[in-house]
Amino acid sequence: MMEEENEIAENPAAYTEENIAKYKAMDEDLMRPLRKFGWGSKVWIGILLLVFLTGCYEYYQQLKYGLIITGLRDYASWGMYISNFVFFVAISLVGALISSVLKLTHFEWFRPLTRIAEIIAVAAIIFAGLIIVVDMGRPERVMNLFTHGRIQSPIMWDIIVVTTYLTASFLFLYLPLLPGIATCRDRLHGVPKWQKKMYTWLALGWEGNPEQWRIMKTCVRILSILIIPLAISIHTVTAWLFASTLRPGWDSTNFGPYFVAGAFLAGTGCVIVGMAIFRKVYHLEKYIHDVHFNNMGKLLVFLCIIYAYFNVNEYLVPAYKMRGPEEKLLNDLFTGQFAPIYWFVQIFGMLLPACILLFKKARKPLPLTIFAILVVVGAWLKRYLIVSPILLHPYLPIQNAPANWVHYFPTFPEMSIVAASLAGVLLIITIFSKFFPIISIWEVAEGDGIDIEKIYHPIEK
Amino acid sequence: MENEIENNNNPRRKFLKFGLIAGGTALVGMGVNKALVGTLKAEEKSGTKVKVLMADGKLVEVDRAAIEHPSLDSVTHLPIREGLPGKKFVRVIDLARCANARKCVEGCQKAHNMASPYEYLKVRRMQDAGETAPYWFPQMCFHCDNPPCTKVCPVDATFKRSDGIVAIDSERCVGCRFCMAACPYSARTFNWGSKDQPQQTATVPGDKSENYCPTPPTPVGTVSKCDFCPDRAAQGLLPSCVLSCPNGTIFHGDANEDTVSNGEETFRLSELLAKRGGYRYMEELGTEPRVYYLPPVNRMFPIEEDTEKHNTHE
Amino acid sequence: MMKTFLKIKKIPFLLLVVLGLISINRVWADETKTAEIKLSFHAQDSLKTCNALVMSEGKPLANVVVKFYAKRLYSLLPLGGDITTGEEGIASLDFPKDLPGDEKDNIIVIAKIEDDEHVANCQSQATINWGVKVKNNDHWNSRSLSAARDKAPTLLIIVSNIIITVIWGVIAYVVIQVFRIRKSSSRIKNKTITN
Repeated sequence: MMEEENEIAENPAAYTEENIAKYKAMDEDLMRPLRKFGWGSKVWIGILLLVFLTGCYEYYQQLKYGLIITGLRDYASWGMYISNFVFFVAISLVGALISSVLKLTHFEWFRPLTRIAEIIAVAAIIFAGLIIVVDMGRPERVMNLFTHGRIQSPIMWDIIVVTTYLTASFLFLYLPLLPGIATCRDRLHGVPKWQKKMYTWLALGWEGNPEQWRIMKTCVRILSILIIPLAISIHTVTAWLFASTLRPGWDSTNFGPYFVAGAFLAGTGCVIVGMAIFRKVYHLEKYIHDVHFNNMGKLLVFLCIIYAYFNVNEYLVPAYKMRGPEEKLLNDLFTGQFAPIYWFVQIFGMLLPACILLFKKARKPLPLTIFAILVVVGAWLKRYLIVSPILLHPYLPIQNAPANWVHYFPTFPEMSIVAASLAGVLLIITIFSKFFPIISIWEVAEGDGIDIEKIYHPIEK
Repeated sequence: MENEIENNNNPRRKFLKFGLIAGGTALVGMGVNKALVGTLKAEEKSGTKVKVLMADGKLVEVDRAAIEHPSLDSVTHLPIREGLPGKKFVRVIDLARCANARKCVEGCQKAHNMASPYEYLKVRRMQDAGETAPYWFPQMCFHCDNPPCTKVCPVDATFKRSDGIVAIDSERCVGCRFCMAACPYSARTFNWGSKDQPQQTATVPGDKSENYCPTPPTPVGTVSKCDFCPDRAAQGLLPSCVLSCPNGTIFHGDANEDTVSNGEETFRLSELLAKRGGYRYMEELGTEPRVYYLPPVNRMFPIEEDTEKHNTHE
Repeated sequence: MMKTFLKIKKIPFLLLVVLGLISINRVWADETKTAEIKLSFHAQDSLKTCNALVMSEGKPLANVVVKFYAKRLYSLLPLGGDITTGEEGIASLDFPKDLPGDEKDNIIVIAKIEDDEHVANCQSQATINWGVKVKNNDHWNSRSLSAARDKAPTLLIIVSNIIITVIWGVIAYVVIQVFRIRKSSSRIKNKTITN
């Protein structure tokens, strides 16, 4: 540090020039993907749109005929929509984890990943809200939740925290994005006029003067503190949708922390997949190095171990007791009709990654991405295991019911709508990355030791 | 001479009998016809078609304008949020009498315009332990005094009334089904919107039998359950299930009067519970149900497997 | 010969039959009396009694079975079983001391004579203010988690509102700061000036 200070003191102009050039080069690297719209992107967005529109058509059918078109019936009255909702809420926690927790604890390596994490969080939480409305029997009455809401209901708490977290996450995404938008406004050429206008409008007149930097950094710091309790409460409250009922399997005091731990794990898996894809597609090897994969791999192992601990508490302790109503449920999970999914999730989604990623060789980009995909798929299936099997094992035995009431399997319309929500999340992320730089350059530059406030001059002189 | 007198009287009696029956059937038939089909004028009005459940269990599509049903009459059913003043409904089910005749289930379905497999009232075969005797267990919403379902409703669509009934406001319900997840007794059912569900039940005007109930049918996408038939209570009629049971298993009454009745026998609630060892199902859940059970001691009938019915209609 | 004998005997025979029927009818008519029941209530110390005086043609009837009921919402609650009238034609019921009545503690008591061999079915009813209120720990509308939205527990309302206000207060502050970013921009100031 002393040497650097001497350097600056000796030749401030030269230092600044060098850093400005460095910074400009970084900006260029991130703006290149925004100029191109190759056939790869077109195919990808085309596929996502197709899946999304199919789902929209199936939702129209659901509005017309009712929820009868799903596989839901009186016993498994919650199914894929709700498990998908829980999954989305889970992965949205990663925004808080990466952007905020790591920021506050001064881990520097996360810096290129903050925006990826934040956009995953915002996209997921938007579709969490939408999929919940899809699950409602009378969606046209959604305003009743606001005009006649009951504060005693966990759904009310969930709505309040989700809305709050969405707002805070959106601000947490938008504020550090301002310098990036300003760069696009000033130096992104070869884009349509409406796009330029959009940048101008969204940039809020950002010019990098000291006051703006001060305001922005203060707000980001406030938000990074605020968003941690918000993220924890959003998934704790979602867990309470189940834990506040008297059903065997949900009547557990462990649910809050169990869900939060699983959420961090699932979100981290998503970020790994996201950064692998963006690195490849946008040629960001200069910013996302093997070091980042290595560290994310270590984080994944750590989170897997914590989640395994909560799983042990959640399943081993009731299995030890084998209380009457829980006995059938646990037997079904361990050796019965749900055993294949259960063991796939526990082994491939949690235990295997935890063991194999302990080795440095496994934390290279490609193997790590594969394990991250397994973790994400496992997380999605785990949410299904949390929702429907418990509903199919109520206190009073199911008798005299039709076959499709005793078992739950989602129908094609149901799966199509869920696929549409997943496609929607990916669409938001893809479209965002097509308009805005996916890496927060000023944060990376700051991490590299460049005094961002001194050298930042987006306006071409 | 006596023989002659007898012979002359018999054909007359026979004729009178025949005439009365024929006339009665004609009247009933006309009434049913009117209820269903209406006059030619009504048929000419092309309105929405409504599915009607006939007495023989068939579903028929009929013009809505031609339907006369007490639930469409705006004066017969009461505002949903007001409890019947001064009442506290309570129920006692005598497990020693239940023989799985399932007439209660059918009566309730007819009164509330439901086709199987939707049942507010379920009769289950329970066996508490391997060595204990099995018994038939009719169970419906317990209208708990500490209801877990009203706790979780986000829009105040289900609530506890002053008369002890846990009611559902079908106009407010958003169909989130949280109450269904929260009920530990699986008492609630949802109108998923099947094409095979009736929207009305065929009825005769002036019918006050156990199939008469002015409660409107459940709209699609909302939750419903046993409601202790308050619209019948307002007219002094016992609920459908109580009157349909051939063995008088279900006793229904007002705890403020300390009286329950199954239509034929009336007892003091406190005496019945004390004498027969009344208890509540799964008391340890703390929901404080308003339905008591009398243990299956000195059973009226042996447990019979062959009366088990299986509803496999989707 | 037989035919004429039969012819002559037919008429008296028929007359005898008719007379016999009439006398039986008269006897039966005499046995099945129409009766009236008069209810009266007596309270002495803690003993409450309801007396049903059965009268027929001004004379009290003894040995008549009277059944007492209390009128309830759906049916009639039997009180005390079958009580036979004594010599003075009075059936006395020990009135239960803990029977609830309506909101005003009124009980409608019905005394019936049913299926008696000698007396036609009849009944009489009277109202008496001997109802005892049922112990009611009636908390259906008190503040609780299960209650309606306006009866939420006070603590929950206070705590949730505090949390929401604080957090949204912070968010509002941040949003205001965002607008300050815009305001402190010389670009926009210049633009507005030149415009």
